[in-house]
Amino acid sequence: MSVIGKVKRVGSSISGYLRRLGRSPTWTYLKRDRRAWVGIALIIIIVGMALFASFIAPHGINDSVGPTLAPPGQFLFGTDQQGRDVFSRVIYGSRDSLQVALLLLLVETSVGITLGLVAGFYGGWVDELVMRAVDVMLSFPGLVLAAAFVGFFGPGLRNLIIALSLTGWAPFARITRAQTLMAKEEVYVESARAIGEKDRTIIFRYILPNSASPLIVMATMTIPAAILLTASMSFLGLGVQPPSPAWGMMLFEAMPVFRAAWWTAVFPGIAIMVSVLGFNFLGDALRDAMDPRLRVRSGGGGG
Amino acid sequence: MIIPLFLVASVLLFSLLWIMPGDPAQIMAGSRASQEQVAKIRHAIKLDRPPYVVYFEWLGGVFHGDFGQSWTIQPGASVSSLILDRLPLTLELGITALLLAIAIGVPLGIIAALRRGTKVDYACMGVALFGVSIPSFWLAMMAVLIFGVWIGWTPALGGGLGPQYLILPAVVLGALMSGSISRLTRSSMLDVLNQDYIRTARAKGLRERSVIYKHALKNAFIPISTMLFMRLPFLFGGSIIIETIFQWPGMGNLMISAIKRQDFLVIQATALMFVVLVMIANLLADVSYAYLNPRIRYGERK
Amino acid sequence: MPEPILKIRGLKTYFFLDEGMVKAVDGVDLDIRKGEILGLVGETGSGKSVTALSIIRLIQSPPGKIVEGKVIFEGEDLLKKSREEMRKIRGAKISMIFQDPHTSLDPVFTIGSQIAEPIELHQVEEQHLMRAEDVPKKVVEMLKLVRTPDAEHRVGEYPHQFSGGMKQRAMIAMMISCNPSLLIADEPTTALDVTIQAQILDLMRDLRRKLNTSVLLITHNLGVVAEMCDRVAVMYAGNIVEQAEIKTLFKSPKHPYTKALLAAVPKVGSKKRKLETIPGMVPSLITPPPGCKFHPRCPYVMDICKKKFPQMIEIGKGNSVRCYLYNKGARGAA
Repeated sequence: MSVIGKVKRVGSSISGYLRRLGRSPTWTYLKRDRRAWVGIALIIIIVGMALFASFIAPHGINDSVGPTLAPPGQFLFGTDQQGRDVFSRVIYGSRDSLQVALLLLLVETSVGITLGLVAGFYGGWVDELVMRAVDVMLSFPGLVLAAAFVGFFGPGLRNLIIALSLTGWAPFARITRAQTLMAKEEVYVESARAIGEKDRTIIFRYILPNSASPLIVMATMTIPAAILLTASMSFLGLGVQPPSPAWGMMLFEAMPVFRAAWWTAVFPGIAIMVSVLGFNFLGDALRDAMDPRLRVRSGGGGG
Repeated sequence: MIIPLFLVASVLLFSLLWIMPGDPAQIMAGSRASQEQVAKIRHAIKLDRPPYVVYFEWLGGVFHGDFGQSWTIQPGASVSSLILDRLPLTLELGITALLLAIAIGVPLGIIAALRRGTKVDYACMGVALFGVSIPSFWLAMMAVLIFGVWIGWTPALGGGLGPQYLILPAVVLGALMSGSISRLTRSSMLDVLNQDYIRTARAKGLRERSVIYKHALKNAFIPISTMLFMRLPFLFGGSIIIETIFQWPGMGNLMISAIKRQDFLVIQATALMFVVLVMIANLLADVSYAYLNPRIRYGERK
Repeated sequence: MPEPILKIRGLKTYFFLDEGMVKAVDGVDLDIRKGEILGLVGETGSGKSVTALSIIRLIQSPPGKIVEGKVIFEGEDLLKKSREEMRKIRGAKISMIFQDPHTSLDPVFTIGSQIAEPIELHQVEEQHLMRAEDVPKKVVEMLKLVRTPDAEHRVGEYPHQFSGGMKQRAMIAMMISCNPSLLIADEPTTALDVTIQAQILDLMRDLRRKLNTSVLLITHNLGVVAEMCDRVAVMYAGNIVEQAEIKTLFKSPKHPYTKALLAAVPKVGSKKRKLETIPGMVPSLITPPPGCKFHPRCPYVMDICKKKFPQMIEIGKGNSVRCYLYNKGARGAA
């Protein structure tokens, strides 16, 4: 099929999915949950910061614009020990922080979903192996392993992503595998196989779209963890390096001086919190909206 | 479950030394070291022999408590003695924090579950949500600012031993943990309150107090305690950061120092110790589940 | 005729859901006499269980609410009692056993302790009819009463160590331990094997004889009704549509719904090849059909049935129906 044809097909299946979603009870519950709206509002603020940073921020991230000053005064958030405007750095920091977190998510989902699909679809020893690995990685504190990894391989963006995704892929693999196992039993998969469709086609056209909903919820709930973990690693000096204005990094640089210059630590931290809160609100609302047990029960068993 | 964990983790940690970029011996010896010194170190850490053999020797050493020696943090000192010095302090911090987290989180979760859908519920869960969203290092820094700088209480600035230096880090760590604990408690209670046997208890005419604190809570406690043990490893992960900020001389602090000073054997050893802690936590979770659940404890029916 | 121990008048229990107001019980009148086994029959969704839960006020509120009615027990309206007063009645004067014994017993407490709970609470603490030291003996007694083998040892076991039938019997022991005047049994045998079913029913008959307990037996199984009940009330979409003595109901059912229910039961030796079904679907409880709720499915439907909700009419000894077929007087007026 031509490229245009393939794009059209993907597009229509996405819009079909969205339409079904719009009519589903999940959406009805979600619409009414105030948490969802608060979350979306916060996310829009942060994403807006990232997209329009160059318009909002009055100064560059490395421009020394004055001595170390406290807010408010001339600079809204004050200036740090190198004279840089904290406000601008926080604004630009949204880009770095979000990018890193999303990159991490991308790697984790790619690896996790692939392994989950393979494990669920082929079963047998592959499944056993993957699931063991999942169990191990799920119970291990990601920060510790990531720190050890960076200890040997050195800091920097690439190593940060690798280090954190060593444990981070597991939840996605588990969900995908569960969904795959369920989808495998569906009639349309049987018939697809009967027609002789290739494994790869079956997996990507039929099974994967079914897993979309729980995966989206998982992703929404993993973004906060991704932001916090990458910020923590940067804070320990094991993540992105200066002069990156990523918020975790800003706090790392603030360590020697924050006791005297509180503004160097307070504002970046609030920024992290706002972004994490936004995704947590949305994630909570999504998870509750999809949970059938939270639907109000209609009477004593209906008898 | 525990065995694969240990195997995977030990292989991973062991191999890091071998696959890392650069020459570990050279790095640990320092840029001004002579060729002889570098070779001496390389021999001491067994880098000059085949890895598969060394792995088993290393493993053997581990089981005897021998992790080799430190090269940059405290040259010559045995790593295990360093760890033994620090481990109790990390445990002290972790357990204190956990107890605080339980003391705050569990009641909060129960109240929220009982008053589900009301303002109390939203308030409790709102607080919990904040707790889960605050970066640990930031909360610690704010605590230092508020208690150390503004109020002027010196132990808040960290750097010492003794109970007054333990309070603030434990409170910070505990506060952070209490958020997730209260959420877990609430959902566990809600699950239980929906069960048929709760309806039976009410149908018997039991006082609501008995229904909740006797029947509901005892049942909810099983998944809650299992979850608490499973969360323990993440508590230790968080303690790495807290120890660093408050300069609490625990194992996490040691690990970070080792990373900064590139003392590779120490990094391996501390990471492995964390793995062992995770294993113990998993074991405790299984044991507590088996002990608390009559189905497992007393076996299936006749 | 002895005075009934329970009189329900005009009971309405609604559930306020997002989709609308579900009229689960929409005006129910019911009498239960001393020592009798009254069957309450109907399909799933007819309102049987909700009626039962309303009597002992265990309706989950929100979203449910008993909006109207009277439930007179021992001369007093239960719906007007305080929660504390109601609590003292539950398990002591009116008890209820539920459908699924596997989930209705608390898995982390022993059978013995769960049976002891109502005894300790109601008989020892509240009514001072027994001393605390005598409770363990009474618990074993109750287990023996419900024919549990090896009762002395079984007392210390956990529910998962009991079989389904034994669990249900333990439930019964639990609920009759304080000698209630009324036992409500909500589909007590539906979740059990047929052979166990017979045991449980036999036990219940025995207990009724020994203790003179009245029983409200809720079921959708007409076979059980035939075996156990003295009288029957048939429920449809939140209302009682027919009440009769057992023989009358089976020999000459009056309401078209009752007739259809009986016709739907396959009979051994019958020459019919097809299973009888009732055409149409169970009506919505949020927007029930106007007039008689059964009219869309009724083979005898008349004009008036579609317009006006029929009242309950007595047409014989203890036999009443809610149907215009028998309400000659009302048929003329529209």
